[in-house]
Amino acid sequence: MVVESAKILEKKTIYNLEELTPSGEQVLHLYPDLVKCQGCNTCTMSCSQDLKVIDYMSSVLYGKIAEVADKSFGCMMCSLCADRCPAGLAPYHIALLCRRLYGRYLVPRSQHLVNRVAEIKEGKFDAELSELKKMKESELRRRYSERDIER
Amino acid sequence: MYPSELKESIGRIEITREKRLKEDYPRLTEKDQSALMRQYHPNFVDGGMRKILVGPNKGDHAPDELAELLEGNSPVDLDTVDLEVVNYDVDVLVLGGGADGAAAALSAQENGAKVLLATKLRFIDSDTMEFQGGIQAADKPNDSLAIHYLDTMGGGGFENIPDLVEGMVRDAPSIIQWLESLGCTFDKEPDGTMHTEAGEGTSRKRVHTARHRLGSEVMRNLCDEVYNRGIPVLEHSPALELMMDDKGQVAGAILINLETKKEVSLVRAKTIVLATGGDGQLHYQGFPSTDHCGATADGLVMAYRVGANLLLLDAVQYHPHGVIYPEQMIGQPIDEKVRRLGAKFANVKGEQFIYHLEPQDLVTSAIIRECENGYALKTPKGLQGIWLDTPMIEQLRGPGTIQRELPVMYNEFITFGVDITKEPILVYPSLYHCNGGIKIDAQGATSIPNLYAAGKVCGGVHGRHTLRDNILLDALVYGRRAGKAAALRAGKTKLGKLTLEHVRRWQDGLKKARLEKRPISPKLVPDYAEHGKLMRADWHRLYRFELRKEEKQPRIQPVDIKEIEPILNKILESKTPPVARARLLSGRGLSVDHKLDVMENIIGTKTCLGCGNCIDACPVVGREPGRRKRTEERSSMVLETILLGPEECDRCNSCVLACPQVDVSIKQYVVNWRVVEVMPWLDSRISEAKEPDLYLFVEEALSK
Repeated sequence: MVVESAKILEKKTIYNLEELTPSGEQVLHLYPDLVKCQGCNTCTMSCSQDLKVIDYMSSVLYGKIAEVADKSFGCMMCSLCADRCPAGLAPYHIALLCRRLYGRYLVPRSQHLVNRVAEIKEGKFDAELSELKKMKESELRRRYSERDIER
Repeated sequence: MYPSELKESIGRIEITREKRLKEDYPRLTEKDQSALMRQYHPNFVDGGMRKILVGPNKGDHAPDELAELLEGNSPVDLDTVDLEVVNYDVDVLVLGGGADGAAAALSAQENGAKVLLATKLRFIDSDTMEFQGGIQAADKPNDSLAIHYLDTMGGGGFENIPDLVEGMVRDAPSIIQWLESLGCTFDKEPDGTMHTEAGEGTSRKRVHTARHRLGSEVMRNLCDEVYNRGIPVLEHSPALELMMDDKGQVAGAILINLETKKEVSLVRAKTIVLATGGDGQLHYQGFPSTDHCGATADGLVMAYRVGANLLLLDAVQYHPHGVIYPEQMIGQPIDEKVRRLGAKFANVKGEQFIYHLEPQDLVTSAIIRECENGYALKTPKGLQGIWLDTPMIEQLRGPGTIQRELPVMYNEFITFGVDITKEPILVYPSLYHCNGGIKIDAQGATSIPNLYAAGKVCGGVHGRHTLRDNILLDALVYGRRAGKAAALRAGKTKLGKLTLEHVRRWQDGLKKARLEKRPISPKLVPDYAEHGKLMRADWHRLYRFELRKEEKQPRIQPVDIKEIEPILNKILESKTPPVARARLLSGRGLSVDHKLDVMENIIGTKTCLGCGNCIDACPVVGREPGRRKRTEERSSMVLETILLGPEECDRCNSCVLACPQVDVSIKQYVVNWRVVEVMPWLDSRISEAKEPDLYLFVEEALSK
């Protein structure tokens, strides 16, 4: 049995997301073949999810990462676009790179999430949770039925 | 596109829609609720569950289909498997390629282990990929871990294991943070505040979403990260059996190549993380399933055979409204949100029969009641269902609501020609999965040393009822925890000699309990229902054969000439090359591929290889090589139609003799009785005679 991931990796560049910068040059650096796109639109025609692949590929060339992330969101990684591309590109890997750059670097962070993780580390909820864990089932049931529900 | 009968019914539904919009159907009283459940819910009706007869959970109740697999025979032949040749030697082996498996692999590698991930299907092809729900995390200021804990316990009927629930709610916010660091995008306000929604059984708006595609958003990022980190992945390689060492700890697994069905490889691993997913594809009581096609309880079976404890196996969950038409979407769950937005149910008469916001189990029972009482609709495939009236949403909340709130579902139905803004959906309860599974502790460890588990294969986190938006959370939290614990444990473990003694003991136990006739498990490939009948997957016979060397494949008997003599004679008398028809008579006769249903007695399997032996053997083509220029194809059909005109055949039958697909019996018949020269007879005459007179012999032969 062969380690098969090699086959899938033929068209994918290996990178470490933590060392990248969210820019068009970065994408071009990782996928230099991008410029070979002939604009034949075969990728759009073959997309199983009806995405406008050629559209987001041109956004990649312009370096508009956020736009690519938006337009390619419905991708299911079926690789049909890459299989049919006459220039040998893999639009779905390129779009994934853009989405990951966007998600990690360009989306504004959620302050409430950061606060909550810090609170958990400080042990703010420990007492409450251990009380609930020791609670009898009847008491739990009472609390459950009496809890207020956010509308 | 709905067929015409269903279209007619839609017409009737439309008439009563106004009435149903205004009507407030009464909620069930507590007494009615329990009566309804007891009479119609699949978990309560007789005949679905039975006691397990062997193993650590002997005496516990489980669904029939699952119990049968848990009591199953091992697919590994103990006499022929060679445990000396180890193909892979790793620290942590992760079995399963969904979100839980990927999370476990990543976290094990972060903790310094050498990891191998093996999955039954393609890596990425998993239940996670199809998941359209959200993920719960108590990260808003008005929310707290305690409220999340309480919601989860209440949802699970207070039978959840407290430690596991605590672990899940505690890790939830940091899991969201981790996903974001991997590049997952969640729905957010412009200032970064998370957009959160209410979900099934939540008392706060804490469900994080990603444009209704959270599952694929998470899975593709995890998958990419696994490749980026260089973790080796074995695809199409399900495990057949876990191996142990002589110290009684789990020490590896036997994998099989699903493509060739015979290559077996041994992986020696210091620790194993089972992340093989659920069991919905066992189709308990014949229900369609919302689960992915890989969900056949493989992990449960393997863990049970090494002696791991399972729990809550009788807590099977049903989704009240799965799709039954269009056929491509059978079993797929319709989001609860549809009911919250205002869609109500309607039976064949266009009447409501239950308040549309009742809990899942009650709706399930009510729909089954309607179908059993004859108020159901039938699809062309013979499945029963009732209407979930989605156009009501548009009327209630204004046009465009469905496209805005449920875009993925809308598009999926549009693909099959159903516009859910104008037409209702035909639904029937769908099997979700068994909430029970392997018993784990808060670090993902099972009761067997070195064996860890995460995700749907485990039980206890969700009690008796899984809240939809906790599933992915559970998989990621316990995937990461189990991966970490497995990596740390691997650093301290020394393995002994590999053995399959536990399988031998298991088989002996089966013999003692007189259960040798149980099927082979793990099942690996699901059965599928067609035309209301369950088709059994034939997979076990296939690979059992490959593993057991002494069992030889029975040779396909050549066709008995007596059966086909009349028709063969007719074929051989016609002035067209007989090779193709002789081939069709070979083997087991004609197969469905040939579409020749006319001849009743012949059914078969031999196809033209396109080798061109018949063309090379044909004397007509040989005399006029120019004919070859007509085509480059080399099939028997070409010989019959293009190379030779009508009535041009010499009837020498060389083509039949040259064809590798024609049965020996037919060839013998042709040589002995039909070849003009009667070569074998001539041969014998010539060798007998001292001074052979060829002309005399030929005359003799022709006069025969």
